[in-house]
Parts: sequence; C-alpha cells; structure tokens
Amino acid sequence: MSFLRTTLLFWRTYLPRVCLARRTLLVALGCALVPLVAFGLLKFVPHGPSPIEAFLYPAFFMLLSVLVPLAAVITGSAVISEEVDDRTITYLLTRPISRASILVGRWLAAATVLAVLLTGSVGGLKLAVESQAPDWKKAEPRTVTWTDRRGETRTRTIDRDIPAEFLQAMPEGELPEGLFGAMLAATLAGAAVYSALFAALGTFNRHPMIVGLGYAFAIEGFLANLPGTSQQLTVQFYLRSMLMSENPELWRLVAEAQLAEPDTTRAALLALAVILAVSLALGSLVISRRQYVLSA
Amino acid sequence: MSALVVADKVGCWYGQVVGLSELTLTIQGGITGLVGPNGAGKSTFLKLVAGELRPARGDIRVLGHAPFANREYFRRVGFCPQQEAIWGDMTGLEVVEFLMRLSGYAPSEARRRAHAALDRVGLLDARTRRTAGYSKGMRQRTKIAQAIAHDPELVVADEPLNGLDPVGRAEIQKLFAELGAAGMHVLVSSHVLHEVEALTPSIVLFHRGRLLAQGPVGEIRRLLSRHPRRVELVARDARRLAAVLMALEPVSSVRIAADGRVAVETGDVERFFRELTALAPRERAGIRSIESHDANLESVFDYLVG
Repeated sequence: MSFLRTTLLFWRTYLPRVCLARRTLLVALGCALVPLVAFGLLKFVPHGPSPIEAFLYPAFFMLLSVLVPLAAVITGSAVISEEVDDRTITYLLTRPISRASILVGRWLAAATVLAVLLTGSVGGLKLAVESQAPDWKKAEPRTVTWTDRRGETRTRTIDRDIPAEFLQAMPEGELPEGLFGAMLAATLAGAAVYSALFAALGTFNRHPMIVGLGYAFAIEGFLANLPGTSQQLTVQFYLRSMLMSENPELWRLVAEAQLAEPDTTRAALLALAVILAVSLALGSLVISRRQYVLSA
Repeated sequence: MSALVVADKVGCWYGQVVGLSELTLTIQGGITGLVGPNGAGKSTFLKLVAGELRPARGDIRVLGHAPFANREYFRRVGFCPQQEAIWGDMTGLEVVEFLMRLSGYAPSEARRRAHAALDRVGLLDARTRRTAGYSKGMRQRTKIAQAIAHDPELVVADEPLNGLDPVGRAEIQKLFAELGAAGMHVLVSSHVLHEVEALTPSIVLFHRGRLLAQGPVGEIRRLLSRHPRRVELVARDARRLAAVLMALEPVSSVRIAADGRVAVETGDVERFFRELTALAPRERAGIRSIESHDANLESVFDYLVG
C-alpha cells in the first residue's frame, strides 16, 4: 500500500476519533472563549476597549500567543504517544505499511480538527467585534466623588485615552481590510507547525505534552519576547511576521515590546514550511527506526 | 525444509533488565509452544519474531527475513500480542477491518476477511459493539481474528488463551490446531504447560531469558526431572555431615566450601530431603540451615507440570 493511500486511510480513520476526543472538547472550549471575551468586553465594560482593540488584543495575546501553541500541544503530542500509552501501536507497527504514514496521517487528522476549531475562533472573534462595533461609542468621562479617611472630599475622572488609530480603524464597523485574513493565516500556520513539532516530539519522548508545554511557554515565551535576533529561533516570530504584513501600525500599538523587525510574509512562510517539513521528516525517521517497548 | 525461526546469540535488554541472553535456537515449522514462567523471555522472543523489537545483539531470521520493521515480512505474519489493548472506540469488526485495510486489502475484501476471521474465532453478535465494553475473552478473540484474517504463513500468539473461559480455551485450541493442519505455522506461548501440550508436542522452554530446553514435551519432562539441583547446608560438623551425605543414593556429589558450607548436588531433590530428614536426628550433625539454590528452577518445574 502506497504511502499516500495509507496516510489518507489514517487521516480518514482518525478524523472522527480526534473530533470526539475529550482533549478536542477542551480545545473547543478554549476557542469559544476568545470571541466570548471580546464580545463581553464590548458589551458589558463601558470604559473598556474600542472594537478594534477588542479584536487585536485577544487575537494577539490569547489566540496567537497562548491558544494556538496550547491547542497544538494538546492535540499534536497525542498523535503517537496516545498509541504508545494505549499500547495499540503494536498493531500498526506490525503491518506492511510505511511507519511514517502513521505519523503523517494521524497528524493530518489532528491538524484538520485544529484548523476547523481555530478558524471558528478567529471567525467568531471577527463576528463578535463587528456585531458590537456599530453600537459602540467611547464612554463619556465619568467623575467619581468620595470622602477619604480624613473626611476630605476627593474626585477622580475615569476616562480612557484611546489612540486615534484605534478610534479611526473601524469607521464602518468592519475590521480593516486584510486584518482578518492575516490573522487567520497566521493562526492556521501556527496550528500546523506547532502540531507537527509536538507530534514529532511524541515519537521519541514519553511525555511530549509536558515537554511541549515547557517548550511553548517557557522557551518560546522567553525567546520570542527577548529583544534581538534570538526571536528568529521561535515559531512565534514568524507567525507575528505574518500578522505584521497587514496593518502593521495597529499591531505595533498592541504589542510594540513583543515585536522585533519582522520578516517578510514570504520569508516567514518559508521558515514555517521548513520547520514543519523538518519536524515531520525527523518524526518519520524516528518512528521508522525506533522500537517501542510496551509493557503487557 | 528450511527452519522457520533461526536465532543466533540473540540478546535483548530492557535497560538493565535482561529480556533474552545469548539465545541460540532453531524452530522448525508447524505448531510450536513456548513455555516458561512470567519473565522467562517468551514475550520478548515473540516480539522479536513478530518484528516489534529488534535484537540488541545477535541475529534473528524468520521465514528467511530479519523481522524488525520489514514490510515484506509483515505480509506473511500475523501477531496477536499479549497486551489486552485494542481501540476502545471502535467495534471489533472495525478493528479487524481497519487492520486488513492496512494490510493492503480493498474495503470490501477487508470487510469480508474481517467477518470471516471473527466468525472463525467465535465473536458473533458482539462484533458490532465497541470493544471498550468487551470482556477479556472477547478482546482476546478480536486480537486473534486480526492476526489470522489475512491468512498469514506464520501466526505469532502471545498468551492467547489468557482470559478465556474453559469453553473458549477449547475453541481457540481447536482453531490453532486447524490452522496448523492447514499448513500455517503457529508460535504460541503460555506459562501453563498443559495448555500448550494440548496444542502441540513440540515445545521450547524458557527460563530467565535463556533457552532451558527444546523438543517433544515428554522428553522435556524427563529432562527436567533428571536436572541436578544444588542444596547448601550449614552444620556444626561439616566434615561429618559431608561423609554421611555421600552415602545417600540420590546424592551425586558433595563439596565443602571454604566458608564451611556443604554443597550437595542431587538428581532427586524430594527423595534427598526425605532421607536427610530421617538421618539428621540420628547422626547429630547439627544442621543449622538448608538452602536450595535452584529453588526457582524447582518452582518452574512444579508450576509447569502442576
């Protein structure tokens, strides 16, 4: 059976199983949280963010920096380690198939589910923001008066100084052109690359979820926010470069400290494609040569 | 006829633990039973034969192939592993059908073979239920079905009778006998000798990762009973005790070690202990301790034939 046919068979067989897995429900809840947060901020917080901020901040800090790597760790690390932990990998390794197809087929199934959920999350975020934008008005400054412990009357004016770029970003109540597309592309690219990385990790590590979490949030979290060229060692740098391809002036206002001089979109995509290909190639090499010792 | 399995000084370790040590063995075709207590090395050997593991040392050939990760070889072999695990969210039918698809069969043929194999192992109505709800015996039948569904030349079954009730055992034993009669080679392991004995007279006996004996079961029983065992005694007067023991018929040799221990080799340990019990008070040798160093071997033997 050819590599392609076996890979497709794995993809088809595992797709419904990944959909129904408990970890997928966890990821789905995380994905639903992002638009809900944006909606809540716009609907219920009078001196909260402007509509464009309600898109940019959750998109950058919740989705791209946390949810994408987290969801990829949860689903990607299970690709091979689940079969090892369940001790079912024996049946697959003793069949006349390319062992690499187990990794690639199962990763494809996981990546497909991730892509659907994350597309829903980014789309939901857009909908949440655009549904509230027409009704949104900058709250009038509010003066609060109170008496302190010495009996003196004090007053404070509550107002938020929102940059003009943000106030003018959505004049028609719609996201600026290209913003949604760039965000979706970066999210999907991140899901594919991170999940491939963690799936490959699972071929040689017994605890890929723990190691993956450590990598995504300790190593990448540190390097991606460290000024200088070390950012280029992280997946996050290339995802952020993809974001910066559209509306860079807005993104800089959101995360100026986090963003180094970005690569071009083409260079970022190339780098991400290389990371993905190397991850899958390395994982395939390991699974093809490794013996998995299972207890009875 | 060329040998089915040829193992040459095969060694296999799990970290510091020895799975198999310098195993040299040739197995001819037909049905062969692998016998030994838990931890003897049977499962390790079968995993090597099935191509799940590769030897750390030495060489193993099965049907002329080096089994590990050998796709050509996997077409010719069916493996029923010891672990109970099968995908709990699939039905028994789906499990076997999926694995047949991986064996290269078209969907309709894979389904036909899955049904035929499940019929053969006696998994009838339950085949359309999820395996998560299966009993141990049903899982065992599903595992056996996936191992035989593609009509392999060799079936490797690790403890396939575990978890089956007496009727189920008889059915599966009959199935293996039929496979053997149909020209299929079968390697089957068990830690209970009489289970294997019911299948085949040809057995391989493992103990502590080594080959203990191989051949017809009757011959091995005789070999085991003649196997000399060593007993060490500590006595107040070691020389006097050694002299008395030399006169006993079941004793084949007596040696006094540097630390004063009396080491006895006997071919009939039960009779030796009987006679020792009778002579000890009479001879007043002051025996303080008795230690049988081959106790594990005895327990193997007792366990196997018991």
